[in-house]
Amino acid sequence: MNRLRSYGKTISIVSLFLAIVATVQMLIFDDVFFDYTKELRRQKDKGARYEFIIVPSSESDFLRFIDDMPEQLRDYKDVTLVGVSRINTDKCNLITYYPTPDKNRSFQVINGKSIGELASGEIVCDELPGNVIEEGDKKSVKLKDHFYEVVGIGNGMEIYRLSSEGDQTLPRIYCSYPDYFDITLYVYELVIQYPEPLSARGASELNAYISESLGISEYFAPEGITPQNRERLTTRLMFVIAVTLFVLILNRSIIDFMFFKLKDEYRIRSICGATPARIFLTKCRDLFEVGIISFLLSVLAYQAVLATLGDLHPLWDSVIFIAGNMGIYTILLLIVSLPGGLIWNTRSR
Amino acid sequence: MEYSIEISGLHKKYGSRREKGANALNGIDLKIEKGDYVALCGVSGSGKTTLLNLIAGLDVPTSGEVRVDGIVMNDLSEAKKARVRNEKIGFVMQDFGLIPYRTVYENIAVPLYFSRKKIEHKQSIKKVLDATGIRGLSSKKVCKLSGGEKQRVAIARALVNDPDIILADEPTGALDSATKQEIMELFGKINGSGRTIVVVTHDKELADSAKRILTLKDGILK
Repeated sequence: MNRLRSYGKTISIVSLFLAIVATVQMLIFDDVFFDYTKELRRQKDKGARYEFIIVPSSESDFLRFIDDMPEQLRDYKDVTLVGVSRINTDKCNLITYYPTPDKNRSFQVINGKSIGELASGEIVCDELPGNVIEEGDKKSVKLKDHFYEVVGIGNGMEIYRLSSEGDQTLPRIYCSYPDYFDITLYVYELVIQYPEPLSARGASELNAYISESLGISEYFAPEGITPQNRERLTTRLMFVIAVTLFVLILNRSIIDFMFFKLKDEYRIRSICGATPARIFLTKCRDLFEVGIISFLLSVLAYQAVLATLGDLHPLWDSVIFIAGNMGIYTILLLIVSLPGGLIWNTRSR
Repeated sequence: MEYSIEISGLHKKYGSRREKGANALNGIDLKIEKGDYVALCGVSGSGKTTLLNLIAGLDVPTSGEVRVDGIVMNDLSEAKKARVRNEKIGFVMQDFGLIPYRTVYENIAVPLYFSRKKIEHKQSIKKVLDATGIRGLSSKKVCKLSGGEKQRVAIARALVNDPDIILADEPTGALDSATKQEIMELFGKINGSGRTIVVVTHDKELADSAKRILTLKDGILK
């Protein structure tokens, strides 16, 4: 710990440098001002269209999701949102939403059956809204650009299946979220998880399908301080702070260092003629240094947790993410360490 | 007659009035001339260290007055007390009071960082390293030194700002007899250079090496 203390300054300087570089990178070169609709427009110009299949936990969640959806995306005509609201693990409702030409919202709520049936591309409902096309015995419904073929009747309801005559080139981006909290993150997690009940083709196949459809090799979740991912950033930051506190509480060396060795050092400085102001500044500096050290420990712990959960970022992403957060953390530390030092100073007199 | 330290009617009580706290000092009157070498003796709890801390302005008296080189310490702000401590007083502690993971040089330099005097750091440190006989240890970490060496470093640090007064709290308490002898000689030399020394000690030998021995009992000077 003593050695760590003597290296504290170097660690602080290196950390600060990293933090500044990463924050600048995040702010200027990266995704802080990432416009996700720009990406959609870019793809649209290439001729792509989107269908989002999202699985909120309830119908009201889906409607809230629509309400909270960014304006640009809501009015983006080439996006159809198909919501599958989960009643329980088996039963579901299908909700489609798409903006009408006059920008009024159009909702279609279809009381459905089992997710299993949906997985095979079948929809069971009273009547699928759309233009009914009848050709001999064959009956299909055109809903937006989809053609749903009626393949049977059961329990007084018609069973529809996505017709092969429909627009099969329509890229589908699947997005699943278990509760409303994650809805705000949907833009970043569009393709991260292929919903389990709909995973007939498997995640890898879906990714390949999306890659091929969108013409991009990998769909990635943008990082950065956009309103949409601020919540996630805050969550992570809270986690980092929690782990920091945890490390601080558990690590007796740090406790010992903070409250005994340093206390002794302040006494020595005071005896040697350091004014209270100088002692106060030293305390602030020490708090800052210990904060940086504990932060480094906590991000390691954080990465370990992520690795355990199987959600570890690629190395460089992690470095950027950690260092970027460190920039925010540095500011937080500065804010906290000044009054912290003041309180400590007053209490130790 | 010029005095380094003048104490009059000094009382120190620990704890609040309601708690009827213990009286550490019960009306001390003391004058220490410039260049004097005083040993403060007494049993544990008699108020020796309290008196030393009050002289250095590290503690606040309940009543009475402490003057250091004519300056009334009671009236000073904490910052001004720190300045007096830095410029006029060198402090030597029983536990050495050194920063263990810093080098000898860095430890000795600590008072210079807080000094307003225009002192050439390297020269001053070199001078006290020579005076205390530890020049060869300059770049060594304090944690690797023996008890005697540490005490020499502490004395060197007390001298580096060229103070008039040296206050020492049990400076030989943690040392063997041979090292103790060396430290006593060192104090003799320091006093010989015209500095005032006040040393708190249980050690009869060290007390005998002083010019005056004062005994504290129940917070009163005998």
